[in-house]
Amino acid sequence: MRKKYKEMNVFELINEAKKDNYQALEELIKREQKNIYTAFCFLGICCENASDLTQEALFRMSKGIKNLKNPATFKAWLGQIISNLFYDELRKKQRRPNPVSIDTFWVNDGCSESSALNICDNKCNPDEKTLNSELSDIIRKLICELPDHFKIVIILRELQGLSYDDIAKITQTNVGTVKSRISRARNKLQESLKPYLS
Amino acid sequence: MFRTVCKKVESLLGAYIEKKLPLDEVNFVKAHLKKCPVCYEKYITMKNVLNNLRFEYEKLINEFEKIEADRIFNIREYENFYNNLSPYLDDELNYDESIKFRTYLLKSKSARSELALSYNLRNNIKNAFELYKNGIHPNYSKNIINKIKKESVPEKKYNYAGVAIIIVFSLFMALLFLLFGYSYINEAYADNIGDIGSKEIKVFEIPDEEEFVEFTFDEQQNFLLTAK
Repeated sequence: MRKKYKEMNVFELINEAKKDNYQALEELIKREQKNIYTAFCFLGICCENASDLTQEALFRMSKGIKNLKNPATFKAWLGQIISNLFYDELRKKQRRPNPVSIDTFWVNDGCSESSALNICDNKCNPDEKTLNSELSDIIRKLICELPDHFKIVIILRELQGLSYDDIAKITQTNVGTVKSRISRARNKLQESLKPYLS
Repeated sequence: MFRTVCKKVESLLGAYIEKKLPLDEVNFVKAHLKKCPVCYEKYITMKNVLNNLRFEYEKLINEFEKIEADRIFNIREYENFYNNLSPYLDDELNYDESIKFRTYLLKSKSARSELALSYNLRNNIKNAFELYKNGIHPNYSKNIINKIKKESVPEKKYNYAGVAIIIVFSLFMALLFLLFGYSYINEAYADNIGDIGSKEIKVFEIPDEEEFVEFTFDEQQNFLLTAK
């Protein structure tokens, strides 16, 4: 039974999920959760908040999927949810300071320096960690450092694969603005990646 | 005398050729040139040189303007290319623009290398996403499905038919009560009265106070009430 849903197309899954089919919805969530989590992490939100936001986004998705008229707009709709949550989080951030992770501790002589505890990471083998992953870490940091408007645009484009029109609708701007923002974001990334790529 | 006049004319020649002399001096120079072949020759050579110079100058200026225009055109073309670079990667250019873009690519080598660089960057970003995705193992599906199921329980449709039946039934009962209830109570009340009426009522006659009670004071002047 499960296998049947695994082989299904996204549109078929959406149509099934609309009919209150929880198994189809579960499969849909399984497919999208990594994408959404990655999006929030690349948007520069720290790990705990990212997982909260991912759950919230998935919850909104599964709640609102019945009201989605056209399955073709699913990706854009999901992008809308992500960007809404991201902007909400930014607004919240202005009001309260960032939560401090337990993994970081304060150095005795002052509050300026902090470092993470060196707990070994068993998730993946050191063999798998090649130069490539190092580069991907750098790219993630660079994307996180971009201005907020550039960040959301480049993530909707590269990760969610949305068209410029959809991004313009989601961010409530013109297509021209989206175009220039994406190209400027790419140029910035390219410039800061130059020393690593050569 | 003759030499001094020649010298004077010679000094005026430049201004004469450029037609910047007052009228009396122009007439003076003209008259002298007709008379003196040496000065006339000087005048001719000077005129030729000046004309040549002007011609060369104009040629230079024209060439410079052309180069400048070309340069500006190139800059504009390059800017256009640069702006369209990322839309081209995303396949968002319309037909005309993409043709322009490709012709520019064929023309310039640096444009091609730049396109290759941005392709490279794009691939790197995609790789970064994929690597990050493979490194994480989020599992929210069960959690969310449970949450959704919980939420959907109170949203279950009420059994409206049952509620309607109860309401209709109670209304019916109320109607019955209104029609027959009062009459029943009245009947019961009337029955009670009838019962009371049928029985003999014993009326106790209260005797006069004076016959019944005697007020006296005892020795210590206490008030005493004694029945007879």
